[in-house]
Amino acid sequence: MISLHAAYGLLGQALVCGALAALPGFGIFRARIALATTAVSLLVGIAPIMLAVFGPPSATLLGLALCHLAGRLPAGGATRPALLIVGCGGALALATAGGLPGDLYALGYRPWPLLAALLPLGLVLAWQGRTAWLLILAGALFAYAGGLFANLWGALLDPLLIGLAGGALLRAGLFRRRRTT
Amino acid sequence: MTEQPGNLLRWLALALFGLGLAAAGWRTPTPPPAMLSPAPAAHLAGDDLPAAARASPERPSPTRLANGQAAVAWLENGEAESAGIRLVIRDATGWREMGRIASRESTAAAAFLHAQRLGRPLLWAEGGWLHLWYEAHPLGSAAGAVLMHSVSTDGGRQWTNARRLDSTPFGGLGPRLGETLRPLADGGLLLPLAQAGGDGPWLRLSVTGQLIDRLPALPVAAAETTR
Repeated sequence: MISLHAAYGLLGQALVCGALAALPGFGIFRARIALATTAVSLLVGIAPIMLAVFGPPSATLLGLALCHLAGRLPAGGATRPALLIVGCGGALALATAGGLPGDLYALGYRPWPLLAALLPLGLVLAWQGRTAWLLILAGALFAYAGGLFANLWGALLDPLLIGLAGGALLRAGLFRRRRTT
Repeated sequence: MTEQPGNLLRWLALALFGLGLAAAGWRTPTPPPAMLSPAPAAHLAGDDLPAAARASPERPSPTRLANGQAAVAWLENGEAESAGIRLVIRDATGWREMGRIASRESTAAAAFLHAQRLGRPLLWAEGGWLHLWYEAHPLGSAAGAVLMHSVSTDGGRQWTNARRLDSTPFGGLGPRLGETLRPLADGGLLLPLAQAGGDGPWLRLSVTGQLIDRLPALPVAAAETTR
């Protein structure tokens, strides 16, 4: 029998593939290209390779992919969320390499401190009217609560999301530099 | 695109977020402090292992079943891309072949992930349950591993679909399995991750095999703490 865990990982990565393919725009063909890429990624084995290399997509990445496919990306700019994602990813990598004291990733297995940190973040998002981000965070929390992830970090972040956020920051930096010159 | 959600939507999202926080808090495991079980782990001398297990490129993993029989799992010695994990159980007549219990194909079918090769297995018997953890390498053995877990409740004949363990923030490029499982006093287990210079950190598993914590070092043994 197919496990929910495996099905989520495969279909999630296929949707992420579709959303990535639709990133350049493509005008009126955008939806068709996204759908075709999602199907092709399942048929030719791109999604299983992405699942093996990057792991199951975090609920955050899947939420953003779905928003992008629906043409309703969260408003309010991407720089601050991308900074937060890259900062957390960098801290996780540093802690794993021994550059920071303690095991930051282990916090995600019994995530009381993380939940405590998410509470003010949620309140700030609600106060600023960033409903889409609030819903994405709620989705991540429900995904963890439902047992889709053993570690809360996995529901919030994944290597592909961190890489994409890093790419978005680089791109924003390059654009800013080009404008100033 | 601008986002102008109504107040109702904002309150609804906040309520969902609050519910999500409460659900995540409710689900968070609260196990007792980890204490090593005083029972020793199964050990078989190298000479006792079947010849095929001794030829394995990875260390074979022995365990002792509830009925006292020894069982050994090992990675086949052959082409790395097609090597699977085999199991034998020793009864009165000698080693009895149980067949291939994991392969690249079975891993792909169960977890939908592509692995270039499999790696070290770890076998553990807990009452009538036989647990198997093994490495799957998406990009070759040097680039890290995904850890898989499968269970048999009929003495190794049939196995559940292998499930990936959330053991690392780096997807399929995580640490490899260590060498020696450590039983806990509460019935759980510590699954070792490989580190330069020995085992550790340790993944803490509940009695049912669920991953509930990661420990940087071995805890003290139960007998020591009650002394």
